[in-house]
Amino acid sequence: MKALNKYFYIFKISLSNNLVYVSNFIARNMFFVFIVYVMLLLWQNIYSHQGNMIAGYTLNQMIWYLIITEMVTLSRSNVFTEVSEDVKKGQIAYLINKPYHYIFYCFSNSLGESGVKLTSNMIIGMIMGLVYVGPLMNLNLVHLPLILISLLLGMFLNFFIYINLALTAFWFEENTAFMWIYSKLVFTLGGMLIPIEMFPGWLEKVARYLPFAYVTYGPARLGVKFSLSEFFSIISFQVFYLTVFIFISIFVYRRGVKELNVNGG
Amino acid sequence: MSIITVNHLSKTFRVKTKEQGFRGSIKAIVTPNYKEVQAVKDLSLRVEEGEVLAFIGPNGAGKSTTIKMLTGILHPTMGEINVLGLDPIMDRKKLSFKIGTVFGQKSQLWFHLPPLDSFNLLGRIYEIEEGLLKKRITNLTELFEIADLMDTPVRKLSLGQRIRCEIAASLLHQPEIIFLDEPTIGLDVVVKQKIRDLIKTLNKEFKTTIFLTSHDAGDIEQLCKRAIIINHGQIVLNESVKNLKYNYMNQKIIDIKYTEPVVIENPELKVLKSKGYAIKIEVDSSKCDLDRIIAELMKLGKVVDITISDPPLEEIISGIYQEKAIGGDSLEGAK
Repeated sequence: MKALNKYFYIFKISLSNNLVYVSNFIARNMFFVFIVYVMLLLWQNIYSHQGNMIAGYTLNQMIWYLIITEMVTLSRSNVFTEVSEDVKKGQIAYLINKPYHYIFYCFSNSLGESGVKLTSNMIIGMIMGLVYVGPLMNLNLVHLPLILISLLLGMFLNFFIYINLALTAFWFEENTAFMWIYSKLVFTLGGMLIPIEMFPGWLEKVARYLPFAYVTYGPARLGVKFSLSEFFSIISFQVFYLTVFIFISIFVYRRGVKELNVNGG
Repeated sequence: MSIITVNHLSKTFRVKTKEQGFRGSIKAIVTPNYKEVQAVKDLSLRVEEGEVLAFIGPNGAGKSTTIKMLTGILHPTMGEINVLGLDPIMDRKKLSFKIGTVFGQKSQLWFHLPPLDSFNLLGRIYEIEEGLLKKRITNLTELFEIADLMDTPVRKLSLGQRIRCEIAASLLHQPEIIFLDEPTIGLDVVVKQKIRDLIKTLNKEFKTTIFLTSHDAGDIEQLCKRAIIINHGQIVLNESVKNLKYNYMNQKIIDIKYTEPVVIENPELKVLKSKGYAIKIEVDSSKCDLDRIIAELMKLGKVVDITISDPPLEEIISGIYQEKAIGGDSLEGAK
C-alpha cells in the first residue's frame, strides 16, 4: 500500500510541476489544430470522389478517428529523450539511489506530464471535431469511460515501448534511430495516418497482431465504432502487450544498470 | 565499530577510443577499439560509527566512483563492500532507507515547486508516517533556518538556500550515514561556514556518520578528524587530519610588520613577499628553531604586528600528491 502511495504521490507532484508548462502545451496545440485541418481537407477531397463510406468509415468518423490517434501520440511524455540523456550523461546515478523502482518512478513522473497534455489535447480535440465535422456519429455516452480506458492503455503501452528504446542507451551511444523507426511504425502500422482496415488484407492481418496498432488504432477504433466484442479483443491485446513490455523494461533495466558507466562527475 | 568496510575494491570502465581525424572516425565504426580505464584500484578502507571522514583527491581521482559504489549505484568490478552490514548491490533498496546522499551539483528537489512539496514526496518515498514526517520537517526547517523558504519555488532560491534545503531533504529519513559529494562547491564564505556548522551539529546531535568529498581545504580542516587522500584510484594517504597537519605542515608562514623598512639576510628564511616594512616569510620549523627566528626578527626593528600561521591545507595536499607521484615514478623506474 505504501509502495503504491509513493508512486501516486510522484504522479501528483509531477502533475503540479508540469502545470508550469501549461501555456507551452497550449502553444503546441496549434500544431494539433493545423495537422487535423490538413487531414480534413485531404479527406474531404477523397470522400467527394469515393462516396460517403470508405472502409466502413464516414468522413465524420474518419476525422474523429484521426483526432483520437493524434491525441494519444501528442500526449506522450518526453520519456525517451529524458531517460536516454539521463543514461548517457550519467544523471541516472542520482535517480536510482532511492527506495523506488526507477522504471515505475519514470512511469509515474511521465503520467503527470501526459496527464496535463492529454487534458489540454482532449479539450482542443473535441472543440476541433465539433467545428470541423460536427458531433461524432452514433456516440453512446455510456461507452465513453470504456473508450477512455483503452486510450489510457494505449498511452501506457506507448510509454513502456519508449522507455525500452530509451534504455538501449546503456549499450548504444546514439539511440535516437530506434525512436524514429518506432514512431514511423506507429504512424503506419499503428493506424495513426489511416485506419488499418484500409491496408491490403494481408497487411491488415499482420498489423492486428503487432503492438503498434494497440497504441493508436485500438482506442481510435473504439472511439468511433464501439462494440463490446471489439472492446474486449482490443483491451486484451493492450493488456497483453503492456505486460510484455513492462517485463522487458524491468529486465533491460536490470541488465543495463550493471553496465552503467558513470565517468567522473 | 566499523560501519563501512571496503576490501580490495576495483572498478574498471570500458571506454571507446578513437584515433584522431576523419579516418579514425571511420575506423572506429568498422573496428571499435576499447580501452580499459581503472577508476578505482584495490582500494580498502574502513569508516567507524559516528566518524566524519574526508575523502579527497583531484578531479578524476575516483572519489565519486567510490561513493557511487558505496551507495549501490555502480557495480564494482572486484572486491567487497559492506555498508551497515549490507551489500550495497544486493540490498540497494534496503540500504537506501539507511543512508542519505547529497550531490552538490545535482538537485533532488523539484525545480518548479516549493521545497515543501519535495519534502512531502520524499516522506512518501521513504515511507515515513505522516505525523512523524510533519514533526521532522518542522525540526529540520528550524535547524537549517529554512522555514520561510518552504513555500518558494526552488528555481527562485539562491544556491546557498538550495543547498541547505537539499541537505535537510536528505535527512528526512534519518539516515545513519550521509554521503556529501562536494556540498560547499560554489558557495560564498559565509554560506560555506553555515553549512559546515550544520554538518558539525548533525554529527554531534544525531551521531550521523559523515562521508564527505570536497575540494575545499577549509571543509576538511574544520570538519574532519580523518582524511583519506586518493589519486588515480588508489589511496595515497589515510591519516588523521591532525597528523596530516603535523607531518606535512612544518612550514610556517610569518607575516610581520615593522614601523620602518628592514632587510632580511638570514638564508634560513624564505621571503615570499616584501613591501619594505611588511614582510611575508616562510620558515621550515623542522630545520630551525622558531623561538630563535622570532627573536631575530624582533631585533630587526620595531614590530607593529606579527602573525604566524599554517599554510592552507590545499597546498599541503598538492605537495603530497607531487611527493607521492615522484615516489611512484622513481619506484617504477627502479624496476
